[in-house]
Amino acid sequence: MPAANPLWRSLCRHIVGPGRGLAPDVRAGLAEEDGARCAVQSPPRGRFRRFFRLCDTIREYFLHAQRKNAQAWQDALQKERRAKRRSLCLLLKLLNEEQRREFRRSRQFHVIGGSTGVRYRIRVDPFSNIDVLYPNGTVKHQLCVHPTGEVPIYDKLAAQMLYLQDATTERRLLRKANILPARAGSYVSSSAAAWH
Amino acid sequence: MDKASQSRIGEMSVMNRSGHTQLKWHMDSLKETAAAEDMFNHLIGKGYSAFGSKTKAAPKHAIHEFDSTMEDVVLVPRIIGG
Repeated sequence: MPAANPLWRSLCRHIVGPGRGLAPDVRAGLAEEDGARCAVQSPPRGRFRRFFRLCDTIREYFLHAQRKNAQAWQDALQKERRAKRRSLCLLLKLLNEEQRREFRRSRQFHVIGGSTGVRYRIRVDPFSNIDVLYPNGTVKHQLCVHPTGEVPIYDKLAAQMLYLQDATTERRLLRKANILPARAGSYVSSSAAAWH
Repeated sequence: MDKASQSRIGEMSVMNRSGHTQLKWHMDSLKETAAAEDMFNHLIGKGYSAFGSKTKAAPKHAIHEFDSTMEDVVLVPRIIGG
């Protein structure tokens, strides 16, 4: 780009001194242009020092930004872990003794629907984690429903349990839930059979 | 100390992205009860559902109005199909 040439030349001249770091023919042209001015300018060593100082400043800036990003990431991770712990505490508080024992053993628990009397199995899974069970314990279908907002996973489980065990809210949940077919290989754990 | 003379404490847990926030009130304090009721009504207005029980161990059932004599209330955000 011809328009950028004078700019580039003056930048090079500013950083490394006249003619340095350029092609020989350009350097010759520059030498002619600069003429006597080159003779009175500061030695190239001082200019290099200035250039390296600039590089150091840029490097410092990037390192600082990198450290800040890493810190922000750590903070977010810590906050998420704390939220998860708090939600687990709430869930364990809401479960009854039997459900708590089952949850500790297999990370799932059973709930009886408040109005339908249907048995549900709630698993620790982000999506379609409610299994609607037949009386014999096999999976009829799955439900996908969750509370709005980015609540931690155990809060989702607690919300689903509260909705299902109440007669009025169970109907509301069933109306809103997306129904998915049972996955192949859905099984009934021995604890589930014993619970009924 | 006589247990009956102690004031009972109600606890409201509101689910949110930080796990949950808690609000406690002494059942004999009108100021604390009013603050809890205000928060309850505000969140119900935003679409939250409330579940409560008279004692902490009892199973929760849906409630539509604030009852200061409840020991445990949980407020759950509106649910949507996934």
